[in-house]
Amino acid sequence: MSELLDLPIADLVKRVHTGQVAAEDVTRASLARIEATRSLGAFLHVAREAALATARQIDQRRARGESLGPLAGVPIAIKDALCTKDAPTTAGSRILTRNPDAPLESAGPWQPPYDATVIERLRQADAVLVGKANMDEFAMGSSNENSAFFPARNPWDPTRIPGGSSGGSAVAVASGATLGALGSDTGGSIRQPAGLCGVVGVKPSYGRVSRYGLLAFASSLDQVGPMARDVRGAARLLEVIAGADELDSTCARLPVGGYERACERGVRGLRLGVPRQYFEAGLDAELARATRAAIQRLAELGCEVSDIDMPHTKYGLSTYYLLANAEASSNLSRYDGVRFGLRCDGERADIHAMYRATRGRGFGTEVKRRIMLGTYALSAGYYDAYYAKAQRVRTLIARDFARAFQEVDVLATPIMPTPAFRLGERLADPLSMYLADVYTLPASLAGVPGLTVPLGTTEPTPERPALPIGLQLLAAHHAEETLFAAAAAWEAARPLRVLRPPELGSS
Amino acid sequence: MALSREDVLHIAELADLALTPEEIERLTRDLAAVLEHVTQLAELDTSGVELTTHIGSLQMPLRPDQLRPSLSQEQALAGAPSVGPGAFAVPKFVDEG
Repeated sequence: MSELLDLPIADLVKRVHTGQVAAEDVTRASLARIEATRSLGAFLHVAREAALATARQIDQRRARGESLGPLAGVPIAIKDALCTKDAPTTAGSRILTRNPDAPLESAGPWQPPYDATVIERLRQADAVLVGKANMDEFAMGSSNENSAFFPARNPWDPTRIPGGSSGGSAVAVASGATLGALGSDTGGSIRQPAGLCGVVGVKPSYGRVSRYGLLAFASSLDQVGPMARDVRGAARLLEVIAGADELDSTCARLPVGGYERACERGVRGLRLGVPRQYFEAGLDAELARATRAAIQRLAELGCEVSDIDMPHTKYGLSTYYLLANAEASSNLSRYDGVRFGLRCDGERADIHAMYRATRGRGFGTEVKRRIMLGTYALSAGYYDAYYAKAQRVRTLIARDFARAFQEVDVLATPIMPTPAFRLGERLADPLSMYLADVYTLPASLAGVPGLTVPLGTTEPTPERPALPIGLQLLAAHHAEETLFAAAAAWEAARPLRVLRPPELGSS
Repeated sequence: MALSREDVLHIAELADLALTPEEIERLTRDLAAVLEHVTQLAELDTSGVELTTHIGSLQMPLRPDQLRPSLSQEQALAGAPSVGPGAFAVPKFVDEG
């Protein structure tokens, strides 16, 4: 049965549409693999009964001759930052539970009263939502180790991180438990874990996808986006979730592109830029070689390759941490023990003591660190030196991209300076953890779309098994079709046909 | 960038965060390190560069001003840790201002 889970999304949907395959069977296979790979920590909640009920309805509707949606029967994992009315939502945080000491199942996780817009759209497309994926608390992290409940682990080597913050989403797809997933990306949180786990991940343009029902981290940066094992699958998912939403005024009123069709377009004549600053000191030599080899292959396929200068790249990290955390300090003020989740009594019986006790107990170390940094950057006397300064540098970074996209159609870069590191390796030093995002942050600041596509794996050594390597492609605002065209062309020509963690090993 | 324990306590007060003594010590160290890193922005001349507060077009679309279904009072209160009749219940507070 589990070979159903190895199909590309489009092929599975076709079989469900024709009745060759029952949605219920696919769902059962997915739930079984979730169970078999539980030690990877991909899921915070498995929506077993709701998923089976959805699948049975899909099968019944097909039996009655009704037409089914473009994701009929496809098992999808949902990052736990997205509100779901039939499954609890915690964003990986204790503050969205009632009991800060209990195991998650009995901790009384928050149950949202509504679905995020992207969830509604997945349901309308007849997707089957099998569970809520693990994540760094409030999407703050690059390793999934900041989940308040348990870490997620890389299926290629469970002693290593899957990346973050959408780590559980990437693990669900890479381990074959689901065919697709939704994540959110504020500074690389879809692209980086997709790269480290060997799957496709897309951060759409800022404004491409509705954020209604996404628990907010940094509102000028957050985007919801898909992951899948194949480029075309990710394209189909994005086509379903993208587009204007009257419940989110930051969501662009532009027609949704033909992303799946763009996968057939090819790359002949496509101008591909290689930004020098992404290949400087700090990049692992093996990753640099693999990335350059992929770019060479894209040149053979018809891309016109040229070097590009993006001089403000190195300022991305500082700019991002000031702006994102300033916004977070404001967004996370809503977790105050009044409307949802945890409440702790303070030392005094007044409301301010309650706020402080609740937030002190409910937020983890990294979230506190970021709220503190953001509060500081916005506080009287420091606003101009930090927050306003970072907003000006953001303009310079956005100009780097605007200039680059006058010369080229797409940029190709590494995802992260190193392959997946070990759990615990960078926890003691926040800056070293933040450095995991240097190649993904600038595009987030510029609001342009980015896509991760697997390149292959590192050579195994006695200390380290083969680990996935990903390629990041970036395009101009709302030019997602270019990303899909380039990524699909690469995928079709990639030397390694199947990328699957060894112990899960099918084909 | 020197950051004192008092600075950290002041920020924690602004952010409504109760911190343990260990957290105060660790945050003083960590925040100093991050602030040290972000001072690199000062080396850029940004005079005359406008601020980016928003990416993309800020359209501000309007919709008809009509009532439509929303959460019921019961739904809105369902996730709260403490409720009174039709209301969120909170500890008493006095205006210290």
